[in-house]
Amino acid sequence: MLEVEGLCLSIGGREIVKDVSFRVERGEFLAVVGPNGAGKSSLLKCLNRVHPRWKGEVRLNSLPARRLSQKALARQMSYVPQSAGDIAGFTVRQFVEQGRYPWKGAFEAESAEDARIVEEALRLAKAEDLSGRFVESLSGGERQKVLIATALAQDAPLLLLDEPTAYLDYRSQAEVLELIRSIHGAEAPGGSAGRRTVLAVTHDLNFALQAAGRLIVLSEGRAVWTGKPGELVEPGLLERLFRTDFLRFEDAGSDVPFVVPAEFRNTKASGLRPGPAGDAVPCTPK
Amino acid sequence: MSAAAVVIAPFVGARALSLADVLAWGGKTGGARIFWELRLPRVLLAWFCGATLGLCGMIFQALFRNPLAEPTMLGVASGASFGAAFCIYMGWNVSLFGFSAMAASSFVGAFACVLALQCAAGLRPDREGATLLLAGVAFNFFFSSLVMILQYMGTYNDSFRLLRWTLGGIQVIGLGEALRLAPVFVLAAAVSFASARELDLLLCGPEMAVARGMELVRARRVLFLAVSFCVALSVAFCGPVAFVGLMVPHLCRLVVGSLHRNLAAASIFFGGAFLVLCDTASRTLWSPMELPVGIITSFLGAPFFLWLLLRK
Repeated sequence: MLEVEGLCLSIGGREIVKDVSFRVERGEFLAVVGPNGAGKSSLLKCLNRVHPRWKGEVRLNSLPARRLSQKALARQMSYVPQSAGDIAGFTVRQFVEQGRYPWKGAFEAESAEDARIVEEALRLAKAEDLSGRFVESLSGGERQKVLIATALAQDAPLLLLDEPTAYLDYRSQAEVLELIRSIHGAEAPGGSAGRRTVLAVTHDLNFALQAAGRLIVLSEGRAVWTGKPGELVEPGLLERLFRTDFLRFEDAGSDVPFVVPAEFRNTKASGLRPGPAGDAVPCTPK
Repeated sequence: MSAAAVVIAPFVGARALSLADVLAWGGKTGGARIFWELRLPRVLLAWFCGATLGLCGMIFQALFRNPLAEPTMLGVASGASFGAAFCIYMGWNVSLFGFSAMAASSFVGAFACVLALQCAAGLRPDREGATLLLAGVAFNFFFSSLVMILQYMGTYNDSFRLLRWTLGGIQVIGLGEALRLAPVFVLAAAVSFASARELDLLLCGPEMAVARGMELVRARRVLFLAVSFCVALSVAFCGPVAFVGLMVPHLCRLVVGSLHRNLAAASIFFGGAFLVLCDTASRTLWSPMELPVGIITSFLGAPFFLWLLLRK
């Protein structure tokens, strides 16, 4: 579906993304994780040309992405930014309708098919009840749902997510995680068989571990590790990558752990046994 | 409201006209001549100018995501003023393709300023929007200083003519100017409706616009050049009429919302009606004396500007 080879990006003379290569298969959920400043969001913005001046090769369905017009590119990949910023003056419905932009000509009116796709996007994103409200009146979690609905209205087979759980409280994080899982599980648009392809960048390790089928770790602009979520438990790996100690919590019936920075723990109050840095702490939360 | 303003305004003025006066066709009576040769052309020119400035203001506010943007802010007005000042200083008094020397010179000044600005912004394509805005302010000051130099070097008479021009005014005889401005209004309307979706996306920020499939740099350049061309011609015919481009889109937004296909239609009708009403007030309230229409629009515009800044 997507092939990236030797992608490099410099901004103001500083290298942000350095020679990154990877593939995303059709129907796959790939998460790119890494600390703040690792170049994750910049990598995503190279793919959809929000950053236009990158070097390297990006191919979509074996075609060089550079040859595609911006509209053609947007018909292949939709994008959910970190936040809705300071958008004001549009109702949720009007905002979600903007997702139909790459499919419309200058004077072309909205068709019944557009209306159906917008309705479906609102339903999939569980944002139907919000459609009459103004975007600026929404909470962080509601805004995230609306951003996802707008990307779904774009009707593209590849969905790019930029820090989808950043700025959200725990309940909203859980809702968004569930939502993205169900979107990934839903059939891809455009009549192509199979699931929707998702590429997410995040510093939320637990989101990546629970949602993605494969991970790439980015550090200082370079891809330094790739593998399945269960393989990230290797002692010392997370600590090296994120330069902090972690506690790991096993989940019965799954090889994917939950991780918490060890610094979060209050050793006086908790009953947890502090383990040496990098060691797994076998503990099942009650 | 817009149609009513255009229909009623020509009957109002220093001398009130009746339908019988106007229908005394043949141009023999004074009333008919006032109506057909002075007032109707003036009302039509005001309507086209107001509608064009309203549309251009709407586009500029979306283009720069700045609620205080207005079409004359980026040096267009001061470039045009320089053109007009140069024409007065040189004593040119010829007509070129139906354009007076003053109109042609102010158009050249305005559009030269726009092209220079676009070249300056093109030097920093990574931050074109911000460069355009800040370079525009710098150009504004630069051309204003040139105008002051010419005023300082000119005669009292020249200075007064330039002052009178910068206050804006819609004094015309015959339909010539209105017919020449009509295609400019059509261009502004076509650009507004064709780009309505792009303008909606621009309001949501450049990142969102590109991700939805918009060719951001090209769209910005096309919109900026098209709007500046329309504004330059409007200013050439009517002088730099202040605040219309700022006020009209904001007032319309309060009524019809932010969706640009609705906002463009509202800006046309309200912009046209607003300038017709201001012009009617300018030639009626202190009759037989006439105030330049720019004074009336500024008089209404400044309190509105404050309200915009201070509202919650």
